[in-house]
Amino acid sequence: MAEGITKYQGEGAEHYVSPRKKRGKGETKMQPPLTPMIDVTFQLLLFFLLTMTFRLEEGMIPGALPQKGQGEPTDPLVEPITVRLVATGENKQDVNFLIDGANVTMQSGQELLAYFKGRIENLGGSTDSPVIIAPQGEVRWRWVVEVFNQAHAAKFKEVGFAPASG
Amino acid sequence: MAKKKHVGANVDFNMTPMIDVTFQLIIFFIIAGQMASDDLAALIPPEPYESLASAALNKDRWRIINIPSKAGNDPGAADVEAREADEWIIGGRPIPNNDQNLLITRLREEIARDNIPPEEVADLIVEIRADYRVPYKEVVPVLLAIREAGIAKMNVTAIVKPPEDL
Repeated sequence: MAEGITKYQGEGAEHYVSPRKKRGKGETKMQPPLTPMIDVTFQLLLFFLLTMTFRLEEGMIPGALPQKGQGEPTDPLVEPITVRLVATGENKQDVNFLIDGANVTMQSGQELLAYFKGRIENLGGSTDSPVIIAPQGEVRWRWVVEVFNQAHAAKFKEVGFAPASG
Repeated sequence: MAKKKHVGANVDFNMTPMIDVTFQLIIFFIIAGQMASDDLAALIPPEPYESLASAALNKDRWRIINIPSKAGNDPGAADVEAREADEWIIGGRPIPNNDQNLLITRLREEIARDNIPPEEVADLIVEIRADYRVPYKEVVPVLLAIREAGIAKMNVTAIVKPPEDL
């Protein structure tokens, strides 16, 4: 048998390990350099933290458009409520809501909703009257949506858009 | 007497949990940053008083027409710039010069692409997603184009109000 090798008979064989090898065992610890990776990771994290903006929560106000060719009044007894929107203020940013046939001028959606509710009360709770939104061309979209929203809030069944007037 | 070799204590931070958390955060920001769909152009929808806007239920047959302002989603932009509509966008594709006929063609293409039978075209919903500053006259051609394409259902996008404001 060669010198330095011990062999045991029985369950398994144990090989000779030299004292030099024994000393070296477990001391060499391999670890990749983590610092640059952590640096880059934090740079990415900071970038996303600073540039991230969450979208505003959006939703739908349901509506329907008339079919082409429709336009004949189905029930002439039901008087429509026409809301005219007139652009006012500097750069026409603001609006006045005028109701046709009634000497009423409003400036906010809150007032408009109160008017619609009062009108429904006068009609004995009926919401059959069509609401026609008739804005001037320069009126901002936000005010058109405001009327549409308030007509829905008052539970009117029919809401329509008129072509833009001068 | 042999000189005793002095070995300093090796203090090592456990970086693994920190790197784990950092990567989780990065993945969150990457995914959350892509949540905004390509269909949604950069614009600010209107925020009516007591908004009734609610989440869309069926997005299978759903098309979005964006009417952005030239000011994009910058609320501090000059008013002159903000009141002009930029190019309409449908399905992520802009409509050059806001050509109404091209929009009708695109809407018909969308109907043809999905093989929607004529009797079900009315079920297709078009969402009008317009900037709150855009004038009404810029939206009217889109409403007319939708009607011309034979689509009857139209929803208007608005910012959803939290329930406590209602």
